[in-house]
Amino acid sequence: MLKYIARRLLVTIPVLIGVTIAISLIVYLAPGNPARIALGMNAQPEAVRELERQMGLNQPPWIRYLEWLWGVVNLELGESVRTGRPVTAMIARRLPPTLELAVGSMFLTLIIALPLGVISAVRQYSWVDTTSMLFAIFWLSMPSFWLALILLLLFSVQWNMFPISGRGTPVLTMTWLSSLILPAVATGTRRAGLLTRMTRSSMLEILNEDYIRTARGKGIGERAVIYTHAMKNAMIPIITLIGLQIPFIFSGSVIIETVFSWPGMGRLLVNSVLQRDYPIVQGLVLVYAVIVVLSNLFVDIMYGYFDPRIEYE
Amino acid sequence: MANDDEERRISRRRYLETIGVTGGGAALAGCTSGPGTPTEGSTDSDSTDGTDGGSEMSSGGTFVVGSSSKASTLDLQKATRRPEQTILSAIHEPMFRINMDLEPEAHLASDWTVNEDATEFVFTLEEGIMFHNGEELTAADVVWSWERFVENSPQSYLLAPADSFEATGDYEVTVSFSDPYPLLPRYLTNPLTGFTSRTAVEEAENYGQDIAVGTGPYKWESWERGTAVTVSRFEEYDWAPDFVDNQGPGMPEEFRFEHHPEATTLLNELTDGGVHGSSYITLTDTDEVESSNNASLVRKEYTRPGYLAINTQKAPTDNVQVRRAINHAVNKQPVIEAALGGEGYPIWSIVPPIAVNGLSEERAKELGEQYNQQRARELLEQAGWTNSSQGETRTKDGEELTLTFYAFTIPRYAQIGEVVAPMLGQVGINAELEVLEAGTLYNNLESGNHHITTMAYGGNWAVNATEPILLGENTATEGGTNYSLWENDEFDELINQAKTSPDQETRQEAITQAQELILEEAPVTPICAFNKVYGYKNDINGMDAWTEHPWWPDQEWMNRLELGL
Repeated sequence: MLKYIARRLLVTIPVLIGVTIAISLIVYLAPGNPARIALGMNAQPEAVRELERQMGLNQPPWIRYLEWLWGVVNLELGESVRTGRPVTAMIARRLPPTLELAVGSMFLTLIIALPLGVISAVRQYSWVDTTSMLFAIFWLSMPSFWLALILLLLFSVQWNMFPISGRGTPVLTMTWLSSLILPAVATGTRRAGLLTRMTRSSMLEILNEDYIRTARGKGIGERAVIYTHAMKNAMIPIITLIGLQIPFIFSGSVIIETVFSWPGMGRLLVNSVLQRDYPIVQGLVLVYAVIVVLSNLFVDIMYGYFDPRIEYE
Repeated sequence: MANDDEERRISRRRYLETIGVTGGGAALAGCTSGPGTPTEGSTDSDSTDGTDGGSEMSSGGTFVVGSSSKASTLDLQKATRRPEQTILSAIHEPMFRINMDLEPEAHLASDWTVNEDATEFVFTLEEGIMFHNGEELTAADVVWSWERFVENSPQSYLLAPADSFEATGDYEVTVSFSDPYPLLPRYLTNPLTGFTSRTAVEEAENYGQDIAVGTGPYKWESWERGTAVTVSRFEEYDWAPDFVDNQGPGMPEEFRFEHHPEATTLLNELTDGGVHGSSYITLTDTDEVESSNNASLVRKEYTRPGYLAINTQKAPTDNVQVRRAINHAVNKQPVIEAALGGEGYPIWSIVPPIAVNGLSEERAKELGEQYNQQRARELLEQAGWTNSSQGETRTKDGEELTLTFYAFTIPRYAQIGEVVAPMLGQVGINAELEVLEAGTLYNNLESGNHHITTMAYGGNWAVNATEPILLGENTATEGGTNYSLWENDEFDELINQAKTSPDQETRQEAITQAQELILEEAPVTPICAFNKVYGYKNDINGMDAWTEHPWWPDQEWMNRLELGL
């Protein structure tokens, strides 16, 4: 297994380089002058030229890219062309809030989706099944930004139960937790809807298998049949879906971060793209690519855990 | 000798009288805000007593300012944008302030003189002005700051014409120019021309990101990235301008500038959350604030114009008749209602009448084009663009009258475009509207791909409202902000006179003629000027004093000394 992991990690290097080349090309080719954007529509020509010089935009893009890549080898992601601050430090500062939101929303997704999906499958066509599927479709149909605004209006403005926005600090306190709940709910419930449906269908398929009937025939308790025999085998497609969702949780939270003024990486990425702050965009894309690669690797490893027949030698 | 000096130099008061009432059209250049006349909610600008509401003020607490836009740098000599200026105005101070009579008034100088041809200025600093790090402000600091400003600032053009900045004493600075520069005191009211501690800059690893040190009423406390900047009260501060009732220190212990990028969230934070005040209320949301039990709103008419820049170098808008037809085709009031929720007023000249030296509304209406679809159709016919029936796109030599129309993604600009395009269609112009994000928009404008674009530029004086957007050397294809690509030698000469003539009457006449020339040639379609609004929690003390200054958004910091929690 270790050999497999090492091999997979080695393969990620060309993947990451390819991703950064692709994204750099897109960003460099996109119309727009970072100096002009930084200074706004009322900027004087001399000011734009001066800022271009300060930003180092006089060099050809490929030289800027190679310099940046060499920095990456030395674990330095360059400096923001707008603020001059080290990109590594900027990402390091934004990563924890994003991780908190990702972990919080994934936790919420799992505690809602897994039990609800299993119960729906076990009690197929019952009112529990109908209700949970109704909820699943409801959450799936609800755009995240809309849900976020509704939650904010109800729980923060109307009932004053949670802060309207911002990330409470220090972390791991009640202030922090109360500020995390609404963003996590807004991010997690939609995915919970998706995962509930997937869990239900996967469980239904397994529950109709011969070996489940055999287990029941042997007199094994229903709880053991479901959680020991059925659920473990039903987890393969669920794990796949979770693996696919992880990158989206990291990169797709920008709307939630904006609505709740959450200082995460998503907002930083969008702002940097709009402002053509190339080093930050490159650095963030690199981080996202690493997250995608690692989450895929995690899923592959989990396959082996849930289904011992899957080997990676 | 004294008499000689009096002959050679004119006094500060005389100078103010000279450039004063007419202004001559200088700039708070780079400011995205401007003056206005107080409307309901603000107080009589003639009063200098700023104590209304202040008698119940308490000292302490954190005043939270909400903003939907965030700062990139807090280095005074590198900053440019409004959110940065708002914070920096708490930390730093310029040499001059705009007083209640809208004149530049020395703030950090105890005295100043200028020679007759306005080529040499001598400033004597107040003694005892301290930086936050305990150093005293000296002439050497002023010279160093201004030289750094010229070298680094995106707005360096304000001081770039100076030949030299020289410390001619411990507290005396002499600024020399080759050509007359009579409007220097006005330029020195720009907060970005203030002073920075040299020691702080040299000691900081990343000045403006980790620290900023000035002489202002509040000092740097912290910058939580993506969240907030906090400044704390500078206890030694007691040198506010004379026109401010509280000479310092400020009442709140801290000001915390929070970033809330989503408009609805910011609104909720103001009405029901932790934000005490914000000037970033979306104009279409003002009703929400006014109907709130917890918050109120002040508004006033303002000088920032919204307009269409018409490309004068690309057919068919290179034809003045086509441009005038566009002006006649736009009905301003529906645009104001749709795009601004009614928070604006129509303008007929690119310089709103409330700006210093702006043409009067009557004169602008007399010379400019008012809404008249029939007249628009006639002008298009005269230009050779005909159509067989009303509602069809006009043609000329088999070619359709189709114009490329750009708008910025910011809602108010996009909505202006969405309302105006069908209006043009009603006179037979097919305006193809494209709503573009900033980078793509600027790129296309600099390439001259457009016929029309929605635009806005803030100017408090007629010169700084017209120079950047229409001067020949500022054309967008050269990297400037003249998106009409208008090149008119007569206009350029008039603007030059309005800026440099030592004679105030000549300056005033020049800027008046320049505005009339704009109306004649129609390189822009003036539509409306945006209102300025500020939402605040009802329990804030001192709002009356804060809005007392006629230009309260620009001069807010001095009067903010009177805000209490």
